Amino acid sequence: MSSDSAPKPDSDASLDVLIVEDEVLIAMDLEIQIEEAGHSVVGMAVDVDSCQAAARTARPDVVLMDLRLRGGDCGEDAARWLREELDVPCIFLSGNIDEARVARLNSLSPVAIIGKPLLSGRLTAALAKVCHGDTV
Amino acid sequence: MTDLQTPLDLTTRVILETTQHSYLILDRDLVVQAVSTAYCRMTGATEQELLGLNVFEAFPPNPDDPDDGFQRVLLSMQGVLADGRTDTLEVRYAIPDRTQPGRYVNHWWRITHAPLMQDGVITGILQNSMDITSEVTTARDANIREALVDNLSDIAFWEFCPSEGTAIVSEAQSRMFGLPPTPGVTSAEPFINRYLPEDRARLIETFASLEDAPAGTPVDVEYRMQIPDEDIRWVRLRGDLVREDPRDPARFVGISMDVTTARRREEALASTIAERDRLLEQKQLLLDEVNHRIKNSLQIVSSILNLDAHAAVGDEARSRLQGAASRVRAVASVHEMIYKTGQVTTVEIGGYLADLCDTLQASTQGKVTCRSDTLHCSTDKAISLALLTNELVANAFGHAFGDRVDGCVEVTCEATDEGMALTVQDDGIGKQGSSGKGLGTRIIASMVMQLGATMQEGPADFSDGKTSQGGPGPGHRVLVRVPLKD
Repeated sequence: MSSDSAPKPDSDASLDVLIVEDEVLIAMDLEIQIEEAGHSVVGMAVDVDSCQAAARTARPDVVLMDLRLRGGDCGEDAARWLREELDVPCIFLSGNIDEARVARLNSLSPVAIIGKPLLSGRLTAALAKVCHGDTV
Repeated sequence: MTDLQTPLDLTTRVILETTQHSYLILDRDLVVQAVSTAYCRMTGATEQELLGLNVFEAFPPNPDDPDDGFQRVLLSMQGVLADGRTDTLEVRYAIPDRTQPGRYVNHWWRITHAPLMQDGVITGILQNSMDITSEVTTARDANIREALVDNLSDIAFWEFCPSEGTAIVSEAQSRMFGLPPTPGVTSAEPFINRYLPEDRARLIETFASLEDAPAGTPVDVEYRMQIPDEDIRWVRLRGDLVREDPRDPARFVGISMDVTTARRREEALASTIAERDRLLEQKQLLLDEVNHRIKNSLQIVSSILNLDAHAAVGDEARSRLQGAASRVRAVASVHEMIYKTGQVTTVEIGGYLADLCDTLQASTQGKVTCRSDTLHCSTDKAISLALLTNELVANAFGHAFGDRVDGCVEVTCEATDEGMALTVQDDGIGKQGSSGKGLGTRIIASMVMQLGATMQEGPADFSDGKTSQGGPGPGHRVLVRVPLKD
């Protein structure tokens, strides 16, 4: 991460998180888990366009990104835009994580790649990493 | 004896020195009396080595060659001396290699014996010899070659001289190329023109590149050929470069084989393999899609339960929904492991349990630690183990700590000879009465049975000291031994 978007060094710090997930029930669950971990959800998006709009307005510290989005959009594209335009890192969520995909995603320096169905411990750990300024 | 008594006259001597022909003059005892310079040159012997010797001492027959022409030459000479008639014969007669004693060089000769007369009496023999070795061997080679072509008539045999553009071909070769039979030397062009243009260029280039190669250089190439109005065929050319003299143009001798069937089989095989790969790829895509759907759906179920628990009114309802959410998560998250490892049939359970404990830790107030060996087991067993661990940890938090918020639960997963030993222990108040008939207890019993495992309970034993034991009671320890080997 670059210095201007570097989060607070304190691991107890509260992060501003943007959720990009087209499955609304999952998004709601994620919101609760994030809030229970002591962070704030600053926006919800379902595709690349709404992600860009929300990210411009809310300026999140990190984005929780599903890889399959509404209308066939790809989370990877949204993540690349976030990285290039705003230098915001992502935590990827996906049902399908194969080696080729992991290699591609790693080029975007994500915080973590978490499989679905997700164990909340993994999400909490990934958010804690952002607080420490780590990426994979 | 009626030998040549008189010395040679001057004229005869000059003739013998200057003639290009090989002459030998023998007396009646077959002793060399005179020899022409050309004869010496031809045999590699000097005049001194020959004069005064019996001709068969001068040119002793090869003792190792019983078929040598010695007898025929002797008979011819005896015939001339007997009846005075000139005799000519063609004979193989090896002569000594004057540069390498004991060795013989094979030669074919055309020898004429004529009587020498003096006063009506036969006094000796004039021998004229011609070395016809190359004539004989060339004719023999030609015969062999012709016989070979005839014998191999059902084999597509060819001899090809690229620099001259000529060929000698067997009938089968002509047949293969859809051309009329052409005995003897013929133009190679009609054959070359049968090849597809792009292959023709390569063929010409291949042979041209070998023009200066040494004799014996092998050729083994494959080109496509087409007889008008017929299918394209693959022809394999196998042969060798032949060259008697380094200055001769390169000639190639070999056979043509129609390898179309083999080629077609290869092509069919290749397309079968391509089709198989395509189907495999399609299968993988479908599997990926189904996997994705299953996981997403399980995630939705898990999320619904989480949301329900969060929205529930009353501790009892919330606690039950949280328990349900936790169980679904434990089962569902095994599916994530399946895909991550790329194996549908086995799961690395050790690392999975560690992740599960992290999650359980996040949803409780106390502390959950996990130590695990790397262990693989079937997907079915992984789901049972996940549920079992979830219940054992939930049980500990449900019953062991009362109002304490610093309770510790330790999960260990060790590889054993028969499979694994799963230990869940807490530093709580210890076992109080019977386990009861709660859902958790029933699930634990079911999973133990399903796994074919054995379960032991007792006080906690934090012998490694890794976990803090600040609790007031003896703690509680559950050890489950699970056979994993099938």
